[in-house]
Amino acid sequence: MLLDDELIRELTTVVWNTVLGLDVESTFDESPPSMDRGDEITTSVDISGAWDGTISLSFSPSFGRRLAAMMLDCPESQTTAALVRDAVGELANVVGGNVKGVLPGPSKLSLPRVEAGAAAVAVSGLGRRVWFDCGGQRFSVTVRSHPSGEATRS
Amino acid sequence: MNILVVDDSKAMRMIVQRTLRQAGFTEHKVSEACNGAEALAFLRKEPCDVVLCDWNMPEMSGIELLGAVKTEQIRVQFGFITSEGTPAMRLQAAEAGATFLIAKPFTVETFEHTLRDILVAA
Repeated sequence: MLLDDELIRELTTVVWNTVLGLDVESTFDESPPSMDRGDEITTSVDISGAWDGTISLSFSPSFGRRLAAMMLDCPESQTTAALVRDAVGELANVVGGNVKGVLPGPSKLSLPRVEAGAAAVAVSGLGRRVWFDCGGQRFSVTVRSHPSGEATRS
Repeated sequence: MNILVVDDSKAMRMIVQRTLRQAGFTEHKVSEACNGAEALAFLRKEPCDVVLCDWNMPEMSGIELLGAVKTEQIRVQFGFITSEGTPAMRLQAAEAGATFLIAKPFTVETFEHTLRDILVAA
């Protein structure tokens, strides 16, 4: 099975509902005003094998802190940068693992990494970015197939 | 019972412990390790009944830890809690000697159903 926007929405919604207890809505607004461009954090995992690509989650630092506080069950004021990286990295791991499960195998999932800035813009035809709204906070999930890998369905 | 939660994410270790409590498993002693190597060192010196282990970790992965546990004949029930719950990985886990595999994201009900017999039996 190849990925389309609907499957990305479905997998992400399940992770947000189950891990965080939060509802999310997908949005077609690709220029979210609530996210300061250039001030995003992105957490990614790579899949390598029968399908090669990267799954990235991007959101504002403030939303990242909120997510970390929820996962760690502590006030946002107690979330250090390291704890935020840990928590959002785990979200990428869970989303990425579930994406891997619907792609052709065998393949391997990398450990998550967290970087400042937005996810790389998807190369035309080789990637998809889906935007979500979670209580007024926007975030995106980007699935980017590497050129040698199998492209996502357009 | 003594339970060891092994995951390189502190957030996930906390979520696993919270879910154990929400599932009613409140009478157990829970310890933590952040990778397979740390878990193996713990298991060599501390009594443990059940290991709840992530698969994909730095230093030593979950499947490598399970192999070491079997090689060293450490008597413990071993299960995976991992974001990768494909049939192929479930088969690999079972063939390596795992008792169960819980896929992330998991629910309280999944913990109740999967761990009821294991954690109540002892």
